[in-house]
Amino acid sequence: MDCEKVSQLEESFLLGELEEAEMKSVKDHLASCLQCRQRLSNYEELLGRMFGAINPVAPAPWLKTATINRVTTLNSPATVTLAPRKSKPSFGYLYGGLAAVVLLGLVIWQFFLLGQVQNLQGQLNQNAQLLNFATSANTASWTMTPPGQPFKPGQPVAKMLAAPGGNFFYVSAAQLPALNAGQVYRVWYRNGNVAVFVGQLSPDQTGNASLKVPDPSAVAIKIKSCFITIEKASSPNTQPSNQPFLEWDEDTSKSATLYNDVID
Amino acid sequence: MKFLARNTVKTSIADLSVEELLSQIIKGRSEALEVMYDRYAGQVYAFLLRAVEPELAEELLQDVFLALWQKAGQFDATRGSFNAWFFTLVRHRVYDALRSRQHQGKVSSLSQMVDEQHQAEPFDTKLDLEEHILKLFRNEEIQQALQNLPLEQRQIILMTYFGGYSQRELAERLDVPLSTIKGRARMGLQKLRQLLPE
Repeated sequence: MDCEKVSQLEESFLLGELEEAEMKSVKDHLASCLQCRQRLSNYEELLGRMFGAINPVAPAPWLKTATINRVTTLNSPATVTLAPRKSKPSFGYLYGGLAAVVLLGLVIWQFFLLGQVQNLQGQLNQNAQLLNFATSANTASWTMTPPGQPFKPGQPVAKMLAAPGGNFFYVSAAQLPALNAGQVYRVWYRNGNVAVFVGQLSPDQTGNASLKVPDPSAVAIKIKSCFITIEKASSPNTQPSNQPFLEWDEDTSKSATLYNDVID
Repeated sequence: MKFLARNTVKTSIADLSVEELLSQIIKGRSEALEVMYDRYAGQVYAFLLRAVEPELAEELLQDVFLALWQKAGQFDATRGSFNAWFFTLVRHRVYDALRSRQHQGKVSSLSQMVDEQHQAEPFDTKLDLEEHILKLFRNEEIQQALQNLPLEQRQIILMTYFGGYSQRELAERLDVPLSTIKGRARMGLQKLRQLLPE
């Protein structure tokens, strides 16, 4: 490949549009041509600079958990090698009391460690369960947007996820504006004409919030609409008293998106 | 003052530079990737949301950081900045994913996904474009440089490099030859380079 051909392909190269063989040919040429390499490198720097100036949009918090879980599952589990125990000389009964105290301390420490390991195991199981749940082919998701509006980047959005036969459902929201003192976000779904309270969302400083809700009777998968309202914290959570701030409705939206329709 | 600066102790992994974080990633420390995620996920996600529908953006966001985890060792600071390298990686992931979905017949074109599912702004008018630039970029210098490009060059740069369109699709959409699109993209990048000197 010569400089002229590379020049013709350079926009496609930058975009990553080239087929593998063409991409390799361009790269081979760049390895030996300083002029072309310099020109393309300058364009990449320009695009990188523009990328650095993009207004960030905070992704939902569960995405970070899912990403890190995917990465950590790539790593082989750490193995611990126990050093062979060395036999120690006996110092007689004078040290018996001290040994008993140390032994007692070790037993207590062991119980403490066991508790820590169980806690950690619980967290890992929970993360794995959430990851399986979010990426399962049968998991349905409902995207809640401002009433009557399609999703737009940078605007508040929330997503409810549920799996058939699942015993919980999960709500994740992003870009939620900060509320006045005494106000809360409440999540609901409709069962017929009745609004059922799901839970309260507490956004962090970046407007992200998530909520995992037990669903022992697996009703979430059948819901016809779900929404989020802004309520007074002191108001009862039996019925919403305000119009939806974000909503998804089967009548006005497409049916719930199945992940396997979207993700390969 | 110099003494104090020299003796400042880095107390947290969050304080590390990008190069230091990448070397930690190469050693297999996932906490370093978490810090990189905290620093860059917002920009990657904003870019992805402009290029694909939200569900795919969520999947690609994970793929991008998985690729960063696997390819951190390929970054060479002597050959360019991290932003340039990382944004190339992000762009290529997007086009790989869209191309793979096209091959599987899930979409007939890249822009079909963008138009029908994501309702992305078409940027057909000068007003749309200007509004888009102000929303997409927070840096006034870059906003200004883009505003100073001729409309057709601005349109092509934003829709291809920051909008998930292939050049071929854009040619069809705007009803102009592919060579014209390529020419305008090249002119646009050259002019932007002049407007945004390093």
